[in-house]
Amino acid sequence: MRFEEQLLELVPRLRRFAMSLSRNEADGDDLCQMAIERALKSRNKWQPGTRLDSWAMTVMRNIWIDEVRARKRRAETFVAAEAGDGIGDTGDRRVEATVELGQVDRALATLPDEQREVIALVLIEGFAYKEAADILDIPMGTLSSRLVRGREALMQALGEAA
Amino acid sequence: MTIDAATRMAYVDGELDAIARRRVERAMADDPALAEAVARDRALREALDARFAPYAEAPVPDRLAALLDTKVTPIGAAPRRSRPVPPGRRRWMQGAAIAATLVLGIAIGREAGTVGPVATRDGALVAQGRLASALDTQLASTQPNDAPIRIGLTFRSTNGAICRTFDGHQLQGIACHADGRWNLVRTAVGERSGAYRQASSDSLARAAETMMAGTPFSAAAEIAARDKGWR
Repeated sequence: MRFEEQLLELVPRLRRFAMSLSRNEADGDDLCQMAIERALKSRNKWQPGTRLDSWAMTVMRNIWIDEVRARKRRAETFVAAEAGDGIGDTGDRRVEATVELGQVDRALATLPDEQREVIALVLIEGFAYKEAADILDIPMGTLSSRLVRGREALMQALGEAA
Repeated sequence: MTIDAATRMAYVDGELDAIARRRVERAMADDPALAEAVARDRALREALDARFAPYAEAPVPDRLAALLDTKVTPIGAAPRRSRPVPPGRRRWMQGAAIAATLVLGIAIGREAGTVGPVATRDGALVAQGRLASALDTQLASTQPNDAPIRIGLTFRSTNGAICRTFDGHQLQGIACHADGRWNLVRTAVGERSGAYRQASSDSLARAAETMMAGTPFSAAAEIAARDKGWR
């Protein structure tokens, strides 16, 4: 199968990952587009036979980190309460859960980026610890402790919202 | 025996081997608080999944699918240029060739009584009317500031064709010259102002950069290219 076709099959997952990293859908789709463009451009850095999904997620995550750092440099501040507003796939599924979904977004928005990315890869994307640690280029122990802290922070944020 | 938070979560995440799993399960049987904590960990996974699964199940938005559209005919008719490729550029030439085949979905508002800027020929989108004549004759160096269609960069693409970026009120894009016409290889709906326009301009600029062999034409090179019929 051609590279583009393989990548196209991954787009729904890439998009989900982008959405869990970004603060809103527009940013998520922009991130996804940038990641696809960069993946096409640097396609020969991917080793056939290795996992394309991990590689594409790495590409996306690196773009995201660059964006986050650039944003911090610009010293833009975000109002936490704003993070969850206007977000949410209101599709036909689980419309009744809109309030709950907003809470998940708000809880995620309270996480430091380093916890947010491990939560996104392991809990949302379902990567094994080893794969997630490889994508983030961090030791397993670091991944594990960020997962614990991220989860506890999320639980607390959700508990407070309930 | 106590099960620490990391082990408990690894259990929920399916990261433990059979022996460690059984150890957690035995501990859960003796310790309702641990069993409850496991249930909370699972509920968190489910809440996150419910929030984000719809994205993985939704159809891919056109704008993203278009980036990977493998069905569009490449503009391969143009002759290959003969000068050697600088090694730094070779790496992303494949990507550039793909970028050149991209046609983003076009939604062109047609004003009553006027000819739209785009037509199809042999399944490809080509410029017509005012857009075609702007691409044929207008020079970035001499065009008026308020020209209805402004030409941005002119460059030679990695597959040898001369391409120009343009910006009209209704449509922005990149057109490449082949067989006496301008094929639209990339378009975005033009809007007069705002963040969206900036985003699409940036994205077109990036696409142009990807397609480009060498650097954009100077004013003199642009005139020379026009005088030679954009070949």
